[in-house]
Amino acid sequence: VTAALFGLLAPVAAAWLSLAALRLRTARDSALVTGALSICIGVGLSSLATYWCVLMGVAIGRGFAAVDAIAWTAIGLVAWRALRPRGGATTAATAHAPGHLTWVDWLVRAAFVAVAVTAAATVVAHGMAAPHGEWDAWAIWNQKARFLSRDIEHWTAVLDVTWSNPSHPLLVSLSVARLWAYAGSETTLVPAVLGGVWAVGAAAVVMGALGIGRRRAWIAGAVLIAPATFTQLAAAQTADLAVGLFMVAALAELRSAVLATEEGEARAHLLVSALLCGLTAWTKNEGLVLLVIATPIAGWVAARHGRAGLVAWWLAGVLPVCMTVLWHKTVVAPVPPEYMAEAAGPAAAMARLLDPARHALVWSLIAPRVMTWGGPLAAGALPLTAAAAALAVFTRAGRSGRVVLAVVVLMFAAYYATWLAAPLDTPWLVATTFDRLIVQIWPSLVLVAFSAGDAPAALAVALASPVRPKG
Amino acid sequence: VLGGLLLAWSLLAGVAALRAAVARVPDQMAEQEAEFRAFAPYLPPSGRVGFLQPFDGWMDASVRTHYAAQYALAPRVVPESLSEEFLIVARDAARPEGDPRLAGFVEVERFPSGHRLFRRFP
Repeated sequence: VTAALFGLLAPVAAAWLSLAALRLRTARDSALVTGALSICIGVGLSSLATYWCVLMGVAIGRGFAAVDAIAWTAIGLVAWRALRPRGGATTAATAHAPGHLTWVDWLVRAAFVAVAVTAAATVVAHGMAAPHGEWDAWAIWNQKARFLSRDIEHWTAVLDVTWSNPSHPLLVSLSVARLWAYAGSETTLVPAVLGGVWAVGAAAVVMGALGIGRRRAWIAGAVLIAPATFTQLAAAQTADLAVGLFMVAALAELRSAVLATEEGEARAHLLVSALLCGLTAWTKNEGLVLLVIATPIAGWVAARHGRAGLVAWWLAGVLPVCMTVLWHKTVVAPVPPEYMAEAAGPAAAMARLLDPARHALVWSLIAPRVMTWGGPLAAGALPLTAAAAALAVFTRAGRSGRVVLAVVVLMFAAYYATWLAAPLDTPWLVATTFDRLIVQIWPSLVLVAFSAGDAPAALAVALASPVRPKG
Repeated sequence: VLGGLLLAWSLLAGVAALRAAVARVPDQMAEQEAEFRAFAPYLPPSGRVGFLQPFDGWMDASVRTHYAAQYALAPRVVPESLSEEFLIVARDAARPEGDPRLAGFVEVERFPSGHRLFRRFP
């Protein structure tokens, strides 16, 4: 397990150092967000590297783990050496050092810690009751990991397991198989710890993006992790919370690109956001929807900065991952999504989308779920947070959340369209997907809802006028 | 005040989630997949292994048993099929009075769990 922990931390540390060495993160950025981005990029890129090794027939065993460990350590060392002459400005500790804390600040932080400890205990309790995770874990994600881990020559046989959602990409399963190789066994601790990492990462992005020195960041963190559905999915060993993390990280970076006052800053945030959008698409099919929605927004950011060349940086971030996704979906696993496998074509899908009776059915199914999402005592959390987000974007400081909320609304519209158009038993489809799809957008929604409030003066200035390119 | 209310709500919701997690019934997948791992030494390392549909039809419990067999025996594929050389007959899947679907198969092993492995006659 110690080896697996090293396997997890090595690419994360390499990503952290590389972000700083490439000047994609500076001392002005939140260290908490940088840490979460490093988790996303480290885990994401190591899964991509594992995938290409798998395609080349490299067994995901001890030998692979040894070479993988050396490679990530070398990348980290190279990045560290590149940083040294510049004085190692890898963290933002000085820029975000908290000022004097009042007793109210301490009380808020203590309350957050109490909620976090309760949430951690909940995840552990679920993990002890279901060490192999929930239904989708052993039917889909960990099962794919077993195919990848046990037989490199026949791993594609998993495509014949109809209930394993063969159309979904492999970030989570590859990450599990990779860390099993480090551990030397198929320990259930690996997918369990990964689930916790997704949850901690999502909280770090939300709290860091809101400014960890401010009370609202701690309150937002508590609201994010309190619902039972969130902690249950943190322990479920599935991919939905991973999507939630990658999505909120991508959108936080996109928000930073909108707020950037310098072209170089916008370029860095766009590149990282693009990479994260690509990795979301490498996690689940829903990530492709995010990519389609976020790309025109990136174009708008480029236009706002008056530099069409910024679009090239977006493409540079997206394309490497998307080429892999494309290869996987067209060459390795050319199967349609399960929820559309029996579709009778675009005309039938359009007819279902335009059928008022189906709208009435889907609304009748999701309305009570909207009200009760989150579990015991969390009823109303979703509509209240959505309302707060809608109000926040009309405040001066909350305007920064508009791009995030726009993406969240369009993502929900895509889920809704799928419920309408999928030729499956609609009550079953909604019942089995609603909670986890909402968890995908929940961190982003919380980020927007708490965007209003005491924005720093520099942020308000940035919002007041369109950006002009330098020179 | 609003922040205080939100934190209080978060704590209450968190405690409610914890109570529900502590009270949940333990999942049986560890035991179920261990039951099917016992089949592995009798099977080829890859390929397809048939799984007998329960005589009284699929229900949640029997679907879960089928999925557990697949989870345990990966990278073999375990489809519902009578066409493969090997056939897994889960506990209570065959008709107790004798199942005509097993004609042409011979029992290879009966496991302590009650699951059985059959093989097609040469």
